[in-house]
Amino acid sequence: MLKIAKTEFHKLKRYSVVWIGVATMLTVVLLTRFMATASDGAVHTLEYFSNNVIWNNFSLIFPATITLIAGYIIERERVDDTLKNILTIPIPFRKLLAGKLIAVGGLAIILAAIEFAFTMIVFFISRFPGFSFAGMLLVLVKMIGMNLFVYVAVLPIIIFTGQRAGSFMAGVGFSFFYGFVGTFASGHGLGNIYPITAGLGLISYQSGETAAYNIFFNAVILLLMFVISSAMILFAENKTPAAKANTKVKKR
Amino acid sequence: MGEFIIETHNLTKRYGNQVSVSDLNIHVKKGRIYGLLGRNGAGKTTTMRMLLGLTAPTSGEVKIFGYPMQGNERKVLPRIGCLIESPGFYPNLTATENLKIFAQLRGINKPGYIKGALELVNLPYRDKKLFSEYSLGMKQRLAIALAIMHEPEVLILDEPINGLDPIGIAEVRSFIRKLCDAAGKTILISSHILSEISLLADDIGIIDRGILLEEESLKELEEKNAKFVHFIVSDAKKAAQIIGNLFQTRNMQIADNYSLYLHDTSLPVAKINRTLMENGIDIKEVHLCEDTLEDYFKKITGGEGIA
Ligand SMILES: Nc1ncnc2c1ncn2[C@@H]1O[C@H](COP(=O)(O)OP(=O)(O)OP(=O)(O)O)[C@@H](O)[C@H]1O
Ligand SMILES: [Mg+2]
Repeated sequence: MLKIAKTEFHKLKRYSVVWIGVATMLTVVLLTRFMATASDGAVHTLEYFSNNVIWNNFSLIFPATITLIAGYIIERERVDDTLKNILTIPIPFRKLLAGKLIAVGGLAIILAAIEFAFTMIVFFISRFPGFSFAGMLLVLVKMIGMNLFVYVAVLPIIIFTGQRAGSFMAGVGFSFFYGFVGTFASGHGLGNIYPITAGLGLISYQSGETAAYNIFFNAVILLLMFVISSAMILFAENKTPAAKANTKVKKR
Repeated sequence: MGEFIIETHNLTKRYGNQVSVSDLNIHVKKGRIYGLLGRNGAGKTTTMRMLLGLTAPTSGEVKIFGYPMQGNERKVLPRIGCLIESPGFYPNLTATENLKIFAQLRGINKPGYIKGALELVNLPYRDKKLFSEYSLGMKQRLAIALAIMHEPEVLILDEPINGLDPIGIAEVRSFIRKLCDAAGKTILISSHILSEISLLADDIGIIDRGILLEEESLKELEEKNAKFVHFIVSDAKKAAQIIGNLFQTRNMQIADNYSLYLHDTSLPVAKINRTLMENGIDIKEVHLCEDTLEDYFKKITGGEGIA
């Protein structure tokens, strides 16, 4: 499976979808910067600023972005008609899917690093106070952690739409909504069990008002998402439109 | 293992109410080229997809190397190279990069194998051109390179000469022939072009509307074709009598006053000519005529023929 994941990175060469990820990471950092200008006199230390980036990222950008990238990477095998070459090796569809999801996990980390780099650049350009080397490393770790946890939260969506030809855009829309609702979930005390926000406790995210995290719930809910995803992969198959037409006829 | 490398038993595929492949029984012998011939929509691609496990049969069975395909994919498929319908590659990568990916997935890392495969199909190694910039014929060549790269024992090629120019067709034909003769590979090839199949295949299966109409060797098929000698003479009736007396044969047909068809082509035409002349019959023309494979194909598919 690692072998498959490795080839996924080779397939990304000159592939524009990667740049979508970079562009969205830049967007989220700039967005946070403008919001900082508009906000009341709060002091934007490195911690405060990076926390806002993390918040905006999981609630507005990252769930949809990672679902989009994963969707593209899966769907292209059908669009480019390369799936037949892989299935006849033979590599079963579920193995290919698992390999791809590992690779996308790697991309989630890389995107976190890019998010981190943009954050630091904007932080320095804005001459915000409160820099420390340890603080900077902590930002990187938190960003990587949060991206991975959000990725686990959206995995079932990716796996569900990834099996169905031409359906991944619906998954992107759903992921956006799913992330957006995270803000309200955490506002109503559901933050600990809502999958998107469960990662906040695990990276001990500190916003202004200290939230009460239940790390046990957080871990259980994300573990549950992971187990559900693994089970879905185990039974994953490529559902082409022809197969769909077939079942429709049978049902009639 | 029996004598057949690829064998199907009542292989059937239905899409809704439409039967694409119906009770197909094909038999591909070791070390031979089997041509699956059929018009557009006859079911060639559907058959090949089922052979490779890409499409599940509605009923029936595929056996390759004597193993049922279903459940033995990991044993059977690595020994097969295939090209199904249009070439499928990553458009953002070059030919070499594309082949490298599939080689990695197959786990082969023999030195020079990609270069060798590209050379066989006359494509440059390490070219900077992306797959998306390839011409149709170049794409097709790359697909053939992919099919043979891992040196499989069996090749399943769906219309491999699609999009190639005449020289390309001749090249591909001769190297497919070589793969079979020199390397002993078993090859199943499909086409809707009768002349191509007759130039290349040892055995032929004719499929029409999902049904296998005929399966036999090219030799047998050619022998089935009607051959006759057409005489145009001053008096066909009299000529028929003379020939009949001379060779004790009645295997001929008087078409009109001047045309005579002699169906026994083993008779010495020169001697017939001389005898007819000696008996005062003028000979205008003599032809050896033959029904083409095409005529035969028309006959068995019910008249419409093939490209
Ligand atoms: N996925 C599918 N869903 C529904 N019908 C299909 C599907 N695939 C093939 N068919 C039908 O099955 C029949 C046989 O198609 P197939 O592609 O096997 O023909 P073919 O012999 O390969 O033709 P060609 O020479 O055009 O490639 C056609 O009538 C086609 O419409
Ligand atoms: Mg076809």
